[in-house]
Amino acid sequence: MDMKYINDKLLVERYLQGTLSNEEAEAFEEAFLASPELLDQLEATERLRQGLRDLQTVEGRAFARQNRGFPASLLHSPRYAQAATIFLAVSLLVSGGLYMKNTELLEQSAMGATSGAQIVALETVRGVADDEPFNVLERGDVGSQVVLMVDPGFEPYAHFRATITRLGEADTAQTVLQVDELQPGYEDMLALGLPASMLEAGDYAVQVEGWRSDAPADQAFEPVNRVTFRVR
Amino acid sequence: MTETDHSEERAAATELTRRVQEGDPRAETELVERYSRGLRFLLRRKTRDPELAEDLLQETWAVALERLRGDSIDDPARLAGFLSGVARHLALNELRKAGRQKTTANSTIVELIPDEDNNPIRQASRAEVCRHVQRLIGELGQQRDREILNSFYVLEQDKENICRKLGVDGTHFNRVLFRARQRLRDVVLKEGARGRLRVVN
Repeated sequence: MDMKYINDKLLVERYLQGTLSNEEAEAFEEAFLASPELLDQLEATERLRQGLRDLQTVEGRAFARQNRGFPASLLHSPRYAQAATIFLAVSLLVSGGLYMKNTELLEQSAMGATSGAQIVALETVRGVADDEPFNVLERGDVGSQVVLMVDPGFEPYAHFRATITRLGEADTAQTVLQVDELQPGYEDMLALGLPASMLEAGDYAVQVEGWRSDAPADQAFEPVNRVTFRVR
Repeated sequence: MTETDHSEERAAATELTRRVQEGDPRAETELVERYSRGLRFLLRRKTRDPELAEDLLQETWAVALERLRGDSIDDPARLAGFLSGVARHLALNELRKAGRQKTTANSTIVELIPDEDNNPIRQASRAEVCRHVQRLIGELGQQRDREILNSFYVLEQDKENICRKLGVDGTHFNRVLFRARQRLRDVVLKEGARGRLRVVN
């Protein structure tokens, strides 16, 4: 068993890995017992193998340590300082732009408020005659909006329909607006939005009906609530 | 190991066996010095237990010397084969035993067996070797060579797969292994000679 044969067949490595057959291992053991040079190779290889494994463990730990210390080391990096400065400058520019835009929007919003958007919750008061409504609205400016909030009751209808009627002499009620497919929204109220210009001074009624999916088509809408209001 | 080395070994083994059989005490000392290192390595590999290996080394010499003195060895030229056979047999027997029974030390044989102090490679501490390996890896010209060493020695992948994966031929593969091993051996021996090695693991 000469060294060339041993090196070509990787006998040293295979012996250490335990992958030689019994016969091969026995012959190899006899060979290294008789050869200090081969024994040197064997011991050096065993150490190399162990050293590589230890090194990998050490480097693995070092990598883990580096990663654990990542944020701290980054904070001390000059590149981090440069990047942070650029990021800060860009952030200031963007936030400045947003501030300007926000101010503009606030001004527009303030202008809208002066034009008179009204949100009015109409109270349902039983036993009050139509000729003396409990809810009173001031007539809004031209261009403003009125949002009427109406209680739809507690019955679980699929959806609701609201009809605003201007009350007049008997049999002269005039429909101002009808909105279908309404669903309760904020505070479980129905919201009816319309231009203030549609509501001239006078008395009005809002009739709310609920739609039942299981009823015949001509009986599907059931009266839910009726509320009156006056526009002055 | 060349053919000449083989012949020299066979001649030396035959001569030593003859002298032991004739009752030459110096021959026994020479015999033990010559083969103890290899037997220790073999027994450590078999038992994975340095203390047990030392016990079995004593037992190996006790059995072997008794046989040699009694002229009961078939081929004196293959003395190494005879000794490794005795050691292997004792190790296997020991491993088969459920419980470990410590061998009674034979003080004469214990005195004959050389300790590890003269062996720089085995003497080098793991930390020392790890440092040498790190330097050795750093000296490798190509990342690919490092991958060869890691894939083979750490991940224990087979040669064919590594060669295919890294696109190297078998000769280059063997060369990388051989050079790394030689380099480590040289460095360890050199530093051992300078007395820089410290702890035995």
